[in-house]
Amino acid sequence: MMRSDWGELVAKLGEIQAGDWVTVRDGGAISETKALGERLAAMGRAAGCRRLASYGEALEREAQAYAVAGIAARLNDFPMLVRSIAEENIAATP
Amino acid sequence: MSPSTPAARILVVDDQETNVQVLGNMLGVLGFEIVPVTSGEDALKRLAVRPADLVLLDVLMPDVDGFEVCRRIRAQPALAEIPIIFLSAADDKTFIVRALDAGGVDYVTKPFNQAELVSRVRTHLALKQTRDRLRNLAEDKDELLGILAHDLKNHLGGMQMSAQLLHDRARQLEDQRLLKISSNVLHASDQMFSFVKEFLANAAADRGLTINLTPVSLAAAAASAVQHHAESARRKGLALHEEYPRGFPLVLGDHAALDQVIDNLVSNAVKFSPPGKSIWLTARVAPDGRPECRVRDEGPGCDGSDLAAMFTRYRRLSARPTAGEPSTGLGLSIAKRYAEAMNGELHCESEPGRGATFVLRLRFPPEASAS
Repeated sequence: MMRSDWGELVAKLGEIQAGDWVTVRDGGAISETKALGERLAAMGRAAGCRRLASYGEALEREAQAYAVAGIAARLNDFPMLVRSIAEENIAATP
Repeated sequence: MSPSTPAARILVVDDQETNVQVLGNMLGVLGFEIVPVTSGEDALKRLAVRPADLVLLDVLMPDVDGFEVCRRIRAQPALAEIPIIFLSAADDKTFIVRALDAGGVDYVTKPFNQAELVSRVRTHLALKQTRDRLRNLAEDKDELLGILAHDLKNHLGGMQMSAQLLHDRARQLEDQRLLKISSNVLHASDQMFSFVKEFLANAAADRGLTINLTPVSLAAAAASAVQHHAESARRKGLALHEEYPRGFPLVLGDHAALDQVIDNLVSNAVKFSPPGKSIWLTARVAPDGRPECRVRDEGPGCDGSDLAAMFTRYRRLSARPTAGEPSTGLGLSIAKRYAEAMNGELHCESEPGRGATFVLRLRFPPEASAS
Protein backbone atom coordinates (compact mmCIF):
# COMPACT_ATOMS: atom_id res chain seq x y z
CA MET A 1 0.00 0.00 0.00
CA MET A 2 1.36 3.39 -0.96
CA ARG A 3 1.09 6.50 1.14
CA SER A 4 -1.68 7.61 -1.21
CA ASP A 5 -3.71 4.64 0.08
CA TRP A 6 -3.70 5.82 3.70
CA GLY A 7 -7.32 6.83 3.36
CA GLU A 8 -8.15 3.14 3.44
CA LEU A 9 -5.79 2.62 6.39
CA VAL A 10 -7.38 5.47 8.33
CA ALA A 11 -10.84 4.00 7.70
CA LYS A 12 -9.71 0.59 8.99
CA LEU A 13 -8.11 2.18 12.04
CA GLY A 14 -11.41 3.98 12.72
CA GLU A 15 -13.21 0.66 12.66
CA ILE A 16 -10.66 -0.87 15.02
CA GLN A 17 -10.96 2.09 17.37
CA ALA A 18 -14.73 1.60 17.52
CA GLY A 19 -14.54 -2.17 17.95
CA ASP A 20 -11.49 -4.27 18.83
CA TRP A 21 -9.64 -1.48 20.63
CA VAL A 22 -12.58 -0.98 23.03
CA THR A 23 -12.82 -4.75 23.61
CA VAL A 24 -9.10 -5.00 24.37
CA ARG A 25 -8.98 -1.85 26.51
CA ASP A 26 -11.97 -2.85 28.65
CA GLY A 27 -11.51 -6.63 28.68
CA GLY A 28 -7.76 -6.64 29.31
CA ALA A 29 -7.08 -10.15 28.02
CA ILE A 30 -3.43 -10.62 27.12
CA SER A 31 -4.07 -12.80 24.06
CA GLU A 32 -6.46 -10.21 22.59
CA THR A 33 -4.00 -7.41 23.34
CA LYS A 34 -1.22 -9.34 21.66
CA ALA A 35 -3.41 -10.11 18.64
CA LEU A 36 -4.31 -6.43 18.29
CA GLY A 37 -0.64 -5.48 18.48
CA GLU A 38 0.26 -8.02 15.79
CA ARG A 39 -2.56 -6.84 13.55
CA LEU A 40 -1.65 -3.16 13.85
CA ALA A 41 2.03 -3.90 13.26
CA ALA A 42 1.16 -5.86 10.11
CA MET A 43 -1.14 -3.09 8.88
CA GLY A 44 1.54 -0.48 9.55
CA ARG A 45 4.16 -2.45 7.65
CA ALA A 46 1.80 -3.10 4.73
CA ALA A 47 0.85 0.60 4.49
CA GLY A 48 4.36 1.86 4.98
CA CYS A 49 3.26 3.60 8.16
CA ARG A 50 6.26 3.33 10.44
CA ARG A 51 4.53 4.85 13.47
CA LEU A 52 1.68 2.37 13.33
CA ALA A 53 4.05 -0.57 12.87
CA SER A 54 6.14 0.56 15.85
CA TYR A 55 3.02 1.06 17.93
CA GLY A 56 1.78 -2.44 17.14
CA GLU A 57 5.16 -4.03 17.84
CA ALA A 58 5.43 -2.21 21.18
CA LEU A 59 1.92 -3.28 22.20
CA GLU A 60 2.73 -6.87 21.28
CA ARG A 61 5.97 -6.77 23.33
CA GLU A 62 4.18 -5.31 26.34
CA ALA A 63 1.46 -7.94 26.12
CA GLN A 64 4.05 -10.71 25.96
CA ALA A 65 5.72 -9.27 29.06
CA TYR A 66 2.42 -8.82 30.97
CA ALA A 67 3.40 -5.16 31.44
CA VAL A 68 0.09 -3.94 32.84
CA ALA A 69 0.91 -0.23 33.16
CA GLY A 70 2.65 -0.16 29.79
CA ILE A 71 -0.29 -1.82 28.03
CA ALA A 72 -2.80 0.61 29.60
CA ALA A 73 -0.74 3.64 28.59
CA ARG A 74 -0.16 2.28 25.08
CA LEU A 75 -3.85 1.57 24.54
CA ASN A 76 -4.80 5.03 25.78
CA ASP A 77 -2.49 6.52 23.15
CA PHE A 78 -4.30 4.74 20.31
CA PRO A 79 -6.98 7.36 19.52
CA MET A 80 -4.28 10.05 19.35
CA LEU A 81 -2.23 7.88 16.99
CA VAL A 82 -5.23 7.33 14.71
CA ARG A 83 -5.99 11.06 14.69
CA SER A 84 -2.43 12.00 13.84
CA ILE A 85 -2.25 9.43 11.01
CA ALA A 86 -5.55 10.80 9.68
CA GLU A 87 -4.24 14.38 9.84
CA GLU A 88 -1.02 13.36 8.12
CA ASN A 89 -3.09 11.73 5.38
CA ILE A 90 -5.15 14.92 4.88
CA ALA A 91 -2.00 17.04 4.80
CA ALA A 92 -0.43 14.74 2.18
CA THR A 93 -3.51 14.73 -0.05
CA PRO A 94 -2.86 17.01 -3.11
CA MET B 1 -8.03 -28.48 28.33
CA SER B 2 -8.91 -29.83 24.89
CA PRO B 3 -8.08 -27.75 21.81
CA SER B 4 -11.79 -27.37 21.01
CA THR B 5 -12.76 -25.79 24.35
CA PRO B 6 -12.13 -22.09 24.88
CA ALA B 7 -9.22 -21.31 27.18
CA ALA B 8 -10.24 -20.71 30.79
CA ARG B 9 -10.06 -17.01 31.62
CA ILE B 10 -8.03 -16.21 34.72
CA LEU B 11 -8.02 -12.76 36.30
CA VAL B 12 -4.68 -12.18 38.02
CA VAL B 13 -4.81 -9.40 40.64
CA ASP B 14 -1.67 -8.19 42.40
CA ASP B 15 -0.49 -4.65 43.07
CA GLN B 16 3.09 -5.73 42.27
CA GLU B 17 3.46 -5.88 38.49
CA THR B 18 6.39 -8.29 38.78
CA ASN B 19 4.12 -10.79 40.58
CA VAL B 20 1.50 -10.42 37.85
CA GLN B 21 4.21 -11.07 35.27
CA VAL B 22 5.40 -14.22 37.03
CA LEU B 23 1.86 -15.60 37.31
CA GLY B 24 0.98 -14.51 33.78
CA ASN B 25 4.00 -16.20 32.25
CA MET B 26 3.50 -19.33 34.30
CA LEU B 27 -0.20 -19.78 33.45
CA GLY B 28 -0.21 -18.16 30.00
CA VAL B 29 2.22 -20.73 28.67
CA LEU B 30 -0.21 -23.48 29.75
CA GLY B 31 -2.87 -22.03 27.47
CA PHE B 32 -4.94 -20.07 29.98
CA GLU B 33 -6.38 -16.71 28.94
CA ILE B 34 -4.76 -14.25 31.34
CA VAL B 35 -6.27 -10.91 32.34
CA PRO B 36 -3.72 -9.09 34.50
CA VAL B 37 -4.55 -6.11 36.75
CA THR B 38 -2.70 -4.30 39.50
CA SER B 39 -5.56 -3.02 41.67
CA GLY B 40 -8.80 -4.19 43.20
CA GLU B 41 -10.82 -1.50 41.42
CA ASP B 42 -9.43 -2.57 38.04
CA ALA B 43 -10.25 -6.19 38.87
CA LEU B 44 -13.90 -5.27 39.47
CA LYS B 45 -13.98 -3.20 36.26
CA ARG B 46 -12.61 -6.13 34.23
CA LEU B 47 -15.15 -8.53 35.72
CA ALA B 48 -17.99 -6.11 34.96
CA VAL B 49 -17.01 -6.26 31.28
CA ARG B 50 -16.59 -10.01 31.15
CA PRO B 51 -16.62 -12.58 33.97
CA ALA B 52 -13.56 -14.72 34.54
CA ASP B 53 -13.50 -18.46 35.17
CA LEU B 54 -11.16 -18.02 38.14
CA VAL B 55 -9.56 -15.16 40.07
CA LEU B 56 -6.09 -15.22 41.62
CA LEU B 57 -6.26 -12.46 44.19
CA ASP B 58 -3.56 -10.82 46.26
CA VAL B 59 -4.63 -9.99 49.82
CA LEU B 60 -2.64 -6.92 50.74
CA MET B 61 -3.20 -4.16 48.22
CA PRO B 62 -3.52 -0.40 48.68
CA ASP B 63 -6.99 1.18 48.35
CA VAL B 64 -9.21 -1.88 48.06
CA ASP B 65 -7.70 -5.01 49.63
CA GLY B 66 -8.29 -8.58 48.49
CA PHE B 67 -10.91 -9.34 51.15
CA GLU B 68 -13.04 -6.40 50.03
CA VAL B 69 -12.63 -7.28 46.34
CA CYS B 70 -13.73 -10.83 47.14
CA ARG B 71 -16.78 -9.60 49.08
CA ARG B 72 -17.79 -7.29 46.24
CA ILE B 73 -17.46 -10.10 43.70
CA ARG B 74 -19.53 -12.42 45.87
CA ALA B 75 -22.22 -9.75 46.25
CA GLN B 76 -22.90 -9.79 42.50
CA PRO B 77 -25.10 -12.73 41.51
CA ALA B 78 -23.54 -12.98 38.05
CA LEU B 79 -20.05 -13.31 39.54
CA ALA B 80 -20.81 -14.95 42.86
CA GLU B 81 -19.72 -18.43 41.83
CA ILE B 82 -16.33 -17.57 40.34
CA PRO B 83 -13.68 -19.46 42.32
CA ILE B 84 -11.30 -17.04 44.03
CA ILE B 85 -7.87 -18.24 45.15
CA PHE B 86 -6.09 -15.88 47.51
CA LEU B 87 -2.35 -15.40 47.13
CA SER B 88 -0.45 -13.77 49.93
CA ALA B 89 2.91 -13.58 51.60
CA ALA B 90 1.05 -13.56 54.93
CA ASP B 91 0.58 -17.07 56.29
CA ASP B 92 -1.12 -15.88 59.47
CA LYS B 93 -4.03 -18.24 60.22
CA THR B 94 -6.39 -15.34 60.89
CA PHE B 95 -5.73 -14.09 57.34
CA ILE B 96 -6.54 -17.49 55.93
CA VAL B 97 -9.78 -17.67 57.91
CA ARG B 98 -10.72 -14.13 56.83
CA ALA B 99 -10.01 -15.02 53.20
CA LEU B 100 -12.18 -18.11 53.33
CA ASP B 101 -14.91 -16.25 55.24
CA ALA B 102 -14.90 -13.54 52.57
CA GLY B 103 -15.69 -16.20 49.97
CA GLY B 104 -12.30 -17.47 48.81
CA VAL B 105 -12.12 -21.14 47.83
CA ASP B 106 -8.40 -21.52 48.55
CA TYR B 107 -5.40 -19.70 49.99
CA VAL B 108 -1.85 -20.07 48.69
CA THR B 109 1.11 -18.47 50.45
CA LYS B 110 3.91 -16.71 48.60
CA PRO B 111 6.49 -17.73 47.57
CA PHE B 112 4.43 -20.50 46.04
CA ASN B 113 5.36 -23.77 44.44
CA GLN B 114 4.46 -23.50 40.74
CA ALA B 115 3.30 -27.08 40.33
CA GLU B 116 1.12 -26.82 43.43
CA LEU B 117 -0.48 -23.55 42.31
CA VAL B 118 -1.17 -24.90 38.82
CA SER B 119 -2.70 -28.01 40.35
CA ARG B 120 -4.98 -25.94 42.61
CA VAL B 121 -5.98 -23.70 39.69
CA ARG B 122 -6.86 -26.74 37.58
CA THR B 123 -8.81 -28.36 40.40
CA HIS B 124 -10.96 -25.28 41.03
CA LEU B 125 -11.53 -24.74 37.32
CA ALA B 126 -12.63 -28.37 36.96
CA LEU B 127 -15.01 -28.00 39.91
CA LYS B 128 -16.47 -24.84 38.39
CA GLN B 129 -16.90 -26.50 35.00
CA THR B 130 -18.70 -29.41 36.65
CA ARG B 131 -20.97 -27.03 38.59
CA ASP B 132 -21.72 -25.05 35.42
CA ARG B 133 -22.48 -28.23 33.50
CA LEU B 134 -24.81 -29.46 36.23
CA ARG B 135 -26.60 -26.13 36.34
CA ASN B 136 -27.05 -26.15 32.56
CA LEU B 137 -28.36 -29.70 32.67
CA ALA B 138 -30.80 -28.79 35.43
CA GLU B 139 -31.98 -25.75 33.47
CA ASP B 140 -32.43 -27.83 30.30
CA LYS B 141 -34.32 -30.47 32.27
CA ASP B 142 -36.59 -27.85 33.87
CA GLU B 143 -37.26 -26.26 30.50
CA LEU B 144 -38.11 -29.60 28.90
CA LEU B 145 -40.33 -30.66 31.79
CA GLY B 146 -42.01 -27.26 31.72
CA ILE B 147 -42.82 -27.64 28.02
CA LEU B 148 -44.09 -31.19 28.58
CA ALA B 149 -46.19 -30.10 31.55
CA HIS B 150 -47.75 -27.22 29.58
CA ASP B 151 -48.61 -29.54 26.69
CA LEU B 152 -49.90 -32.18 29.07
CA LYS B 153 -52.08 -29.59 30.82
CA ASN B 154 -53.79 -28.70 27.54
CA HIS B 155 -54.46 -32.35 26.66
CA LEU B 156 -55.67 -33.09 30.17
CA GLY B 157 -58.11 -30.20 29.96
CA GLY B 158 -59.58 -31.78 26.82
CA MET B 159 -59.61 -35.22 28.43
CA GLN B 160 -61.43 -33.89 31.50
CA MET B 161 -64.07 -32.20 29.38
CA SER B 162 -64.67 -35.37 27.33
CA ALA B 163 -64.80 -37.52 30.46
CA GLN B 164 -67.32 -35.14 32.02
CA LEU B 165 -69.52 -35.33 28.91
CA LEU B 166 -69.29 -39.10 28.97
CA HIS B 167 -70.11 -39.11 32.66
CA ASP B 168 -73.18 -36.89 32.15
CA ARG B 169 -74.33 -39.13 29.31
CA ALA B 170 -73.87 -42.26 31.43
CA ARG B 171 -75.96 -40.67 34.16
CA GLN B 172 -78.74 -39.86 31.67
CA LEU B 173 -78.65 -43.43 30.34
CA GLU B 174 -78.37 -44.82 33.87
CA ASP B 175 -75.54 -46.99 32.58
CA GLN B 176 -73.80 -48.01 35.81
CA ARG B 177 -70.81 -49.61 34.10
CA LEU B 178 -70.15 -46.54 31.93
CA LEU B 179 -70.74 -44.33 34.96
CA LYS B 180 -68.04 -46.17 36.88
CA ILE B 181 -65.57 -46.07 34.00
CA SER B 182 -66.16 -42.39 33.33
CA SER B 183 -65.81 -41.65 37.07
CA ASN B 184 -62.45 -43.39 37.06
CA VAL B 185 -61.31 -41.40 34.04
CA LEU B 186 -62.51 -38.15 35.63
CA HIS B 187 -60.80 -38.93 38.92
CA ALA B 188 -57.52 -39.91 37.25
CA SER B 189 -57.49 -36.87 34.98
CA ASP B 190 -58.32 -34.63 37.98
CA GLN B 191 -55.32 -36.02 39.81
CA MET B 192 -53.03 -35.60 36.82
CA PHE B 193 -54.33 -32.10 36.18
CA SER B 194 -53.76 -31.14 39.78
CA PHE B 195 -50.23 -32.55 39.74
CA VAL B 196 -49.35 -30.74 36.51
CA LYS B 197 -50.72 -27.44 37.86
CA GLU B 198 -48.69 -27.76 41.05
CA PHE B 199 -45.62 -28.87 39.12
CA LEU B 200 -45.85 -25.72 36.98
CA ALA B 201 -46.33 -23.52 40.06
CA ASN B 202 -43.32 -25.18 41.64
CA ALA B 203 -41.23 -24.65 38.50
CA ALA B 204 -42.28 -20.99 38.46
CA ALA B 205 -41.19 -20.64 42.09
CA ASP B 206 -37.85 -22.31 41.26
CA ARG B 207 -37.20 -19.89 38.41
CA GLY B 208 -37.35 -17.05 40.91
CA LEU B 209 -40.47 -15.44 42.24
CA THR B 210 -41.51 -12.09 40.92
CA ILE B 211 -42.99 -10.50 43.98
CA ASN B 212 -44.52 -7.05 43.96
CA LEU B 213 -45.13 -6.07 47.58
CA THR B 214 -48.09 -3.75 47.97
CA PRO B 215 -50.84 -3.33 50.57
CA VAL B 216 -53.24 -6.25 49.99
CA SER B 217 -56.32 -7.59 51.72
CA LEU B 218 -56.10 -10.86 53.65
CA ALA B 219 -59.90 -10.99 53.75
CA ALA B 220 -60.14 -10.77 49.96
CA ALA B 221 -57.57 -13.54 49.48
CA ALA B 222 -59.38 -15.71 52.02
CA ALA B 223 -62.77 -15.04 50.40
CA SER B 224 -61.35 -16.02 47.03
CA ALA B 225 -59.95 -19.29 48.44
CA VAL B 226 -63.23 -20.09 50.20
CA GLN B 227 -65.17 -19.48 47.01
CA HIS B 228 -62.72 -21.64 45.04
CA HIS B 229 -63.07 -24.59 47.43
CA ALA B 230 -66.74 -24.16 48.38
CA GLU B 231 -67.93 -26.93 46.06
CA SER B 232 -65.34 -29.52 47.14
CA ALA B 233 -66.04 -28.65 50.80
CA ARG B 234 -69.79 -28.99 50.24
CA ARG B 235 -69.32 -32.43 48.67
CA LYS B 236 -67.52 -33.57 51.82
CA GLY B 237 -70.01 -31.87 54.13
CA LEU B 238 -67.36 -29.48 55.46
CA ALA B 239 -68.25 -26.08 56.87
CA LEU B 240 -65.92 -23.23 55.92
CA HIS B 241 -65.89 -20.34 58.42
CA GLU B 242 -64.24 -16.97 57.85
CA GLU B 243 -63.64 -14.81 60.89
CA TYR B 244 -62.07 -11.49 60.12
CA PRO B 245 -62.31 -8.52 62.48
CA ARG B 246 -64.18 -5.70 60.80
CA GLY B 247 -61.77 -3.22 59.24
CA PHE B 248 -58.75 -5.51 59.53
CA PRO B 249 -55.90 -3.45 57.98
CA LEU B 250 -54.27 -4.26 54.67
CA VAL B 251 -51.05 -6.28 54.86
CA LEU B 252 -47.85 -6.11 52.83
CA GLY B 253 -47.95 -8.84 50.21
CA ASP B 254 -48.20 -9.79 46.58
CA HIS B 255 -51.73 -10.32 45.26
CA ALA B 256 -51.02 -13.47 43.28
CA ALA B 257 -48.65 -14.97 45.85
CA LEU B 258 -51.04 -14.34 48.77
CA ASP B 259 -53.94 -15.86 46.81
CA GLN B 260 -51.79 -18.90 46.05
CA VAL B 261 -50.66 -19.36 49.68
CA ILE B 262 -54.15 -19.16 51.19
CA ASP B 263 -55.64 -21.23 48.38
CA ASN B 264 -53.05 -23.98 49.00
CA LEU B 265 -53.74 -23.92 52.75
CA VAL B 266 -57.51 -24.14 52.29
CA SER B 267 -57.09 -26.85 49.65
CA ASN B 268 -54.92 -28.80 52.10
CA ALA B 269 -57.45 -28.41 54.91
CA VAL B 270 -60.32 -29.56 52.67
CA LYS B 271 -58.35 -32.59 51.47
CA PHE B 272 -57.36 -33.83 54.91
CA SER B 273 -60.58 -33.09 56.81
CA PRO B 274 -62.95 -35.98 57.45
CA PRO B 275 -66.55 -35.37 56.27
CA GLY B 276 -68.75 -33.21 58.47
CA LYS B 277 -65.98 -31.20 60.13
CA SER B 278 -65.22 -27.48 60.05
CA ILE B 279 -62.41 -25.33 58.72
CA TRP B 280 -61.77 -21.84 60.09
CA LEU B 281 -59.97 -18.97 58.40
CA THR B 282 -59.16 -16.22 60.86
CA ALA B 283 -57.06 -13.08 60.94
CA ARG B 284 -55.58 -11.29 63.91
CA VAL B 285 -52.64 -9.16 64.96
CA ALA B 286 -50.07 -11.47 66.56
CA PRO B 287 -48.40 -10.55 69.88
CA ASP B 288 -45.32 -9.38 67.93
CA GLY B 289 -47.53 -6.83 66.13
CA ARG B 290 -47.54 -8.64 62.79
CA PRO B 291 -50.69 -9.59 60.87
CA GLU B 292 -51.47 -13.26 60.97
CA CYS B 293 -53.80 -15.49 59.00
CA ARG B 294 -54.66 -18.90 60.48
CA VAL B 295 -56.23 -21.83 58.66
CA ARG B 296 -57.43 -24.41 61.18
CA ASP B 297 -58.89 -27.82 60.41
CA GLU B 298 -60.20 -30.78 62.37
CA GLY B 299 -58.24 -33.35 60.41
CA PRO B 300 -55.99 -36.10 61.78
CA GLY B 301 -53.23 -33.70 62.80
CA CYS B 302 -49.53 -34.45 62.52
CA ASP B 303 -46.76 -35.89 64.64
CA GLY B 304 -43.26 -34.47 64.97
CA SER B 305 -41.82 -36.23 61.93
CA ASP B 306 -44.67 -34.99 59.73
CA LEU B 307 -44.20 -31.45 61.06
CA ALA B 308 -40.48 -31.60 60.28
CA ALA B 309 -41.05 -32.75 56.69
CA MET B 310 -44.23 -30.81 56.03
CA PHE B 311 -42.77 -28.12 53.77
CA THR B 312 -40.35 -30.37 51.91
CA ARG B 313 -41.11 -30.82 48.23
CA TYR B 314 -42.73 -34.06 47.11
CA ARG B 315 -42.87 -35.24 50.74
CA ARG B 316 -46.12 -37.04 51.45
CA LEU B 317 -47.23 -37.11 55.06
CA SER B 318 -48.67 -39.99 57.03
CA ALA B 319 -52.24 -38.63 56.68
CA ARG B 320 -54.02 -39.29 53.39
CA PRO B 321 -56.69 -37.15 51.70
CA THR B 322 -59.99 -38.33 53.09
CA ALA B 323 -61.86 -38.54 49.78
CA GLY B 324 -59.03 -39.77 47.57
CA GLU B 325 -58.20 -36.26 46.38
CA PRO B 326 -54.90 -35.83 44.53
CA SER B 327 -51.94 -34.85 46.66
CA THR B 328 -48.63 -34.07 45.00
CA GLY B 329 -46.61 -33.04 48.02
CA LEU B 330 -45.88 -29.67 46.41
CA GLY B 331 -48.65 -27.38 47.67
CA LEU B 332 -47.24 -26.63 51.12
CA SER B 333 -43.66 -26.18 49.91
CA ILE B 334 -44.91 -23.70 47.30
CA ALA B 335 -46.94 -21.88 49.97
CA LYS B 336 -43.91 -21.59 52.24
CA ARG B 337 -41.67 -20.26 49.48
CA TYR B 338 -44.26 -17.66 48.51
CA ALA B 339 -44.74 -16.67 52.17
CA GLU B 340 -41.00 -16.16 52.62
CA ALA B 341 -40.74 -14.26 49.34
CA MET B 342 -43.26 -11.80 50.86
CA ASN B 343 -40.93 -11.40 53.88
CA GLY B 344 -43.33 -13.51 55.86
CA GLU B 345 -43.32 -16.95 57.42
CA LEU B 346 -45.52 -20.01 57.42
CA HIS B 347 -45.58 -22.72 60.03
CA CYS B 348 -47.89 -25.45 61.28
CA GLU B 349 -49.08 -26.12 64.81
CA SER B 350 -50.51 -29.58 65.30
CA GLU B 351 -50.77 -32.67 67.43
CA PRO B 352 -51.92 -36.10 66.29
CA GLY B 353 -55.69 -36.39 66.44
CA ARG B 354 -56.22 -32.70 67.18
CA GLY B 355 -56.29 -31.09 63.77
CA ALA B 356 -53.76 -28.68 62.33
CA THR B 357 -53.43 -24.91 62.27
CA PHE B 358 -51.35 -23.26 59.56
CA VAL B 359 -50.14 -19.82 60.55
CA LEU B 360 -49.16 -17.33 57.86
CA ARG B 361 -47.47 -14.30 59.36
CA LEU B 362 -46.80 -11.29 57.15
CA ARG B 363 -46.01 -7.63 57.77
CA PHE B 364 -48.02 -4.45 57.73
CA PRO B 365 -47.07 -1.81 55.14
CA PRO B 366 -44.53 0.65 56.62
CA GLU B 367 -47.05 3.50 57.02
CA ALA B 368 -49.52 1.21 58.78
CA SER B 369 -46.80 0.01 61.19
CA ALA B 370 -45.85 3.61 61.94
CA SER B 371 -49.44 4.57 62.67
